[in-house]
Amino acid sequence: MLVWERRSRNLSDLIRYAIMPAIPAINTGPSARMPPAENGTSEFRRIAVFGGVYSNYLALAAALRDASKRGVDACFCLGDLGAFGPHPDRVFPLLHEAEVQCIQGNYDHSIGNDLPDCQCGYTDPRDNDFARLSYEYTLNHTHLENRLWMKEIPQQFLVRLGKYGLLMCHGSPRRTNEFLWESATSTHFLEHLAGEHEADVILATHTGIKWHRELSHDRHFINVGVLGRPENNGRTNVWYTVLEARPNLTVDFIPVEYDHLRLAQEMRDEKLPDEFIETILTGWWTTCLEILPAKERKRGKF
Amino acid sequence: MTVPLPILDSPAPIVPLAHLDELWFQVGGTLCNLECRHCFISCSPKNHAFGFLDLETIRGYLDESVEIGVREYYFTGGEPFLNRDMMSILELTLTYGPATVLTNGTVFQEEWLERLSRAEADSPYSLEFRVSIDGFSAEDNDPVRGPGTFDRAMKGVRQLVDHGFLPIITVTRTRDDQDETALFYGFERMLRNQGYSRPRIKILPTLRIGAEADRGRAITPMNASLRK
Repeated sequence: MLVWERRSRNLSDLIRYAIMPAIPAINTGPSARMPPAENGTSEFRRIAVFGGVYSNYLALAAALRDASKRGVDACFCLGDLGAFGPHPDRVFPLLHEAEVQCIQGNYDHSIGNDLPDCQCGYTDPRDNDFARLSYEYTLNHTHLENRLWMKEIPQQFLVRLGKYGLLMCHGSPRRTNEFLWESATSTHFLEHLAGEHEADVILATHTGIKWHRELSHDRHFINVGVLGRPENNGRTNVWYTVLEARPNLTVDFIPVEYDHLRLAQEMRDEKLPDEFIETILTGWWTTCLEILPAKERKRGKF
Repeated sequence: MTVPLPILDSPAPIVPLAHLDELWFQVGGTLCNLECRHCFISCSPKNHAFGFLDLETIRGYLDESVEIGVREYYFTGGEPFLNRDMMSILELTLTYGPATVLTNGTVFQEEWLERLSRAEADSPYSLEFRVSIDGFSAEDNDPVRGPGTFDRAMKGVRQLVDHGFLPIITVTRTRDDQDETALFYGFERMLRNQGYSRPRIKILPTLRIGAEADRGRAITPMNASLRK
């Protein structure tokens, strides 16, 4: 089993200190305030941030091993633990053992609360069929204990990385299932979000494709990518992100190779759709393409 | 029925605009080369109620939009491509953010699309075209949008695809008896047959104002010719 490499400080204590209660996913009230760094030991220096595990426990294990080798202070997951892949319960022991701090994605909210669907919001009838298949499989194969845990995890974290106040969310700081695509999001909109939520860095996932935009006053928006499936570029690897304050922010997108052939076989054994397996084997998205803006869609094969 | 306004003895309160997600420009005014039976603002070649927006007017609003954090920009009409500033307007907009233009697809010129293809390639943002077609055959579409409009709009779709765009076909459900899923798959099949291998389709309800308010709801190819 994976053994998390502990740093010299007590990691759990540091994370408890660093994480503040989250503001609600649909934020209609005043913004939460970023906790100030009280002294030199009260903040992270290097962290790993994952998104969208989608039951891909093999990629999660590979990413955790890689992050450990890179000597990160802590790992964070921005939600959507289930969907798409096989054996959703295999993700949770890995997360707990490595003390990964998780926020709730729309999928986790649905599974945790036993809702009728994933709140993915598709309109294409074929995409809705795939979403339903995937949701029913995940709901039926997630142990009650894990569902209850997902129900209770926060929807946002505020974390301090060196001099930067980070706001971690799933889709956007104002809505859990909001898609912020690189080609469909203006820079001044991101400036507005950063200002409204008083964040130096906003970290999100949800779309499945990583990107980073520098904003004014050394602020940043970063989509950390997903571990669950490749990002529609014809390559089978997945991605996570390492952030470091040196003291200026560095953002490294880390490719993760994992045993995707084994995952595909397990998906076949679980009778998950051939279209999902094709994505794992080829790196091209085959379903749920309607949500992609023109530029992102054109980069794909379908 | 007219409802009288209450008499105010003090100025109405003003709520400042702090943020706007989408900024819509009615760039084509109410002028359109078509006269669709369901148009919610009754656009036509003769409706001059609202004229074209020019490039400098748009530039002013784009500058203003930065402060209020507008996420994306939409262009509609009338038919936006009747406005001869349209290419410059879209080129300028793509330096601010993503742009979507709603068009009937019937008036494109090759050099316009070449220009816009270059503008999108040079921008970090997407340029989306939403082409309105209201039936997957001329028999279904033309009674609503006008004779010959199905073939003309499909020519526009092919022009866009040939220039590397992936237009979204926007379908208005003009008949109450239409099954949405059947409509979706009917469009998908037709578009693939016409050479559009990655069709994108959105099905929308009608807005029952403007010309649509005056229209009988159960328009069919059979009875359409009996109407106006």
